[in-house]
Amino acid sequence: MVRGFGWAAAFPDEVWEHVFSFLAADADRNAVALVCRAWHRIERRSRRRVFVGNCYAVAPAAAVRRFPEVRAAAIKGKPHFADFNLVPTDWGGGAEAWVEAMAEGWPHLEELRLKRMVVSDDCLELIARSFKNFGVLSLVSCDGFSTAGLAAIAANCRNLRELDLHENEVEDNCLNWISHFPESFTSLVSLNIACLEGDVNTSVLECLISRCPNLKTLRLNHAMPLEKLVSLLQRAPQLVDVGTSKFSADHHPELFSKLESTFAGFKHLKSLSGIWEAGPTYLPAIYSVCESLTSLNLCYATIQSPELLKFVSRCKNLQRLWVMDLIEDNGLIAVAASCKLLQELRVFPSDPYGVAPPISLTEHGLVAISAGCLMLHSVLYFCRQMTNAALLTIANNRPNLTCFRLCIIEPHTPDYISQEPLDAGFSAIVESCKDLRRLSLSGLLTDRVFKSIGASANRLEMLSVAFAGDSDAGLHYILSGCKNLRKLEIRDCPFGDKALLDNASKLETMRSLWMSSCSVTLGACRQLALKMPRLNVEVIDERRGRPLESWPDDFPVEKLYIYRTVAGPRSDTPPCVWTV
Amino acid sequence: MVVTPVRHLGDRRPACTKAFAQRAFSYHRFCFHVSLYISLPRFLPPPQARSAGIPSIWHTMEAAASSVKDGGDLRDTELRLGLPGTEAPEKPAAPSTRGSKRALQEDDDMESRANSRPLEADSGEAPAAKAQIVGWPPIRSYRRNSFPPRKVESEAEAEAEAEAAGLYVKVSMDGAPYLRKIDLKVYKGYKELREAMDNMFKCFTQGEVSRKEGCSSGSESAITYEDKDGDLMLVGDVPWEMFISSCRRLRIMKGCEVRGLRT
Repeated sequence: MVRGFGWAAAFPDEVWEHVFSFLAADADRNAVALVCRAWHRIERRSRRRVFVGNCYAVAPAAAVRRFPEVRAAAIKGKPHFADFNLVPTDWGGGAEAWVEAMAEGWPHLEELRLKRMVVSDDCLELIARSFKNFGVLSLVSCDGFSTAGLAAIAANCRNLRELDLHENEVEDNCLNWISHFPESFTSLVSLNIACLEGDVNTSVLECLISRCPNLKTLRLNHAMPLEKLVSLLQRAPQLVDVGTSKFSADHHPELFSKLESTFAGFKHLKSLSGIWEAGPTYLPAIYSVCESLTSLNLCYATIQSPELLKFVSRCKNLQRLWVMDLIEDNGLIAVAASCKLLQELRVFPSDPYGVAPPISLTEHGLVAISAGCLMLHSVLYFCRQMTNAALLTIANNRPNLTCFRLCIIEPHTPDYISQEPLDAGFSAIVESCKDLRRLSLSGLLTDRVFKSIGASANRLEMLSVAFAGDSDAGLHYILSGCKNLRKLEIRDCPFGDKALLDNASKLETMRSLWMSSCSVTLGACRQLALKMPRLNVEVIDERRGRPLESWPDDFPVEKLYIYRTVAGPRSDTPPCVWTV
Repeated sequence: MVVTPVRHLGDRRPACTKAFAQRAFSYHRFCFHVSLYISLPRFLPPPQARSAGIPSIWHTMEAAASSVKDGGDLRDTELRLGLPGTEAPEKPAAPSTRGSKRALQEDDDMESRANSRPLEADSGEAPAAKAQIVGWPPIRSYRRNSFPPRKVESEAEAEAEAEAAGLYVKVSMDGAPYLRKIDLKVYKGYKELREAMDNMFKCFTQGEVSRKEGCSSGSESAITYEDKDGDLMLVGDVPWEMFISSCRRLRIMKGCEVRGLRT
């Protein structure tokens, strides 16, 4: 090789920057940065977007220092199982360290997306003050802030384009935060406040909407009554994405026709969500938009099958459908017949604890969808029964699946016809769907399914396992196979020390591993931590007794979170977390 | 429904908001908790616990912990719907099945935990008899809270069930530690209803519940109900038949709130 890569100097830096700007994927940019020092320097100065999948994998100051010209940052905090209350609330994922570093090093930051982090009002105020051209704030599954923080954002971010609050827990202490948007503020393009619990001042919101001509996305929260919703939506017929508020009220013919005409006025509507508590009364008023919808989120609509079926089967161009299991098998069969362009289906349980009489949503619905919707690639399905035959059929019908998440609500449920474990079915899925990137398992499963996954799931990036497996061999199969595995989360499986220690080096190729209620002992964690200094091995134990050092090696670890990091052990561990 | 978290010794929790209250459930290997998503109405502890002078919650936990180890008699520590002092619970299958499920768990080589298998045999039983696993099924907590069971949403179905099974509605009284359920079909009018409610809550009331139809001045409490739209209404305004068909829940309100109701 020519020493010094002289050819790299043949072009000025700006040319290389321009070439690199065509590389969208971070992985490609990372590869480019490894070629030579010149490219490393050019690439780092020109990188505009940074994605940090684990906020503790790198120190904020280091990230800010390496990429000084970043305009858009996305950071994720807590492990995925925090969504299901498995992670203690004080575990960490605080955004302060990042926001402070960014405020100092990235004054030109325009976009910030945080997921599963603890964001305080102080953070929001710092964001509002520090970035002059701040345009996009997206908080997904975060907590720790209140509407007072949102008021600060509204008041200070003069060029805000997007405010996306998705499934956060927001304390409501500033009722009129919307009124903090100044009169001169007109740049809003997207507003999603669906997760807010409190009332929002409708007249202030109406003024805001009227003066923002570029508004494309408006997702409201549950609290607004239907009449007010209608008058609000009338002011923005250009909307492309609407999330309604409560969709039920006593029947008033006037309201019905107003709703009908408002929705008929939406010429560009592509995405509809919200529709909380929809009853059959008002749903027909919005039939006019069905044809144009590509995305429909009815997962809060507790409307029963006949009306639901009528509505969904009109949506011939649907690409994404999120719905409750109230749609039942009949509904899904109708969807399979009408929605030929469907790509993503999510079916949520209306009654996860089995309180009400059971619904007739079974494996047949999913099989019908897999047969009828040729472009289907992403599935999330909650049901109560499954068979190997059904999974085999689905695998054969849809080898183009990239995301398959099946949750059979009762743990350890076998094939209800043959009473066998569902190993054969899931094996068929991973063997047939070569591009599968995300998989969630459920039902009765032995080590055999893990053998298939380890052998066949070469593109798999995220695997979720619960109540499955017989022995350590299961975990060993996964960790010794699955070349592209990035995230592995396991709960309530009999996986223990041996598999973990035998595959220690694999863990550094992954973003993170979560194991809870498995059979891992503290001794194995200590060994692992010694062997792999670039892993943080966090033992989480909420009993808060004696410190970790005094516990014996055979102490069973309740919750374990292992992630690779270049930042060393973190300094903000709460009392229930020990970095071994 | 009130969520009553089973608290663990030394547990710190953030200030309670609705969402944080949901997170208060946790369990671990050595101390056997029974995690109830739908909590039981606040109840008096079984007589044995009261006489021992131990706060009932700790008694339940300690006894449960020891009972897991011994596989001993679990009935003392059962959280159940029965009235204090009654031996046989009103839903007979629930405690014994749960006891046998716990015995099954002993054989399981996985760590002991609350019942992970729901009671398939008695799917028609009261929901409060079932213990929930933390974080399963994997749905977000707002999704657990937001949706009432289907039979409340579907009015036609609810009414059909009510026709068949008797019209049971919950009755709560402000200040009473637990709620009751009554069958509205059994009564022929408002007078009978009031008398029945008097009898039920006699042990809790200091004064008298109003005996006249509608709310008389000078009474200390009023009977209100929640109708199918979720609004709080005063009992006595509409004909009895209409009342039965729209009443979902009864509530006896006390003094100061009652005045507000009468404006």
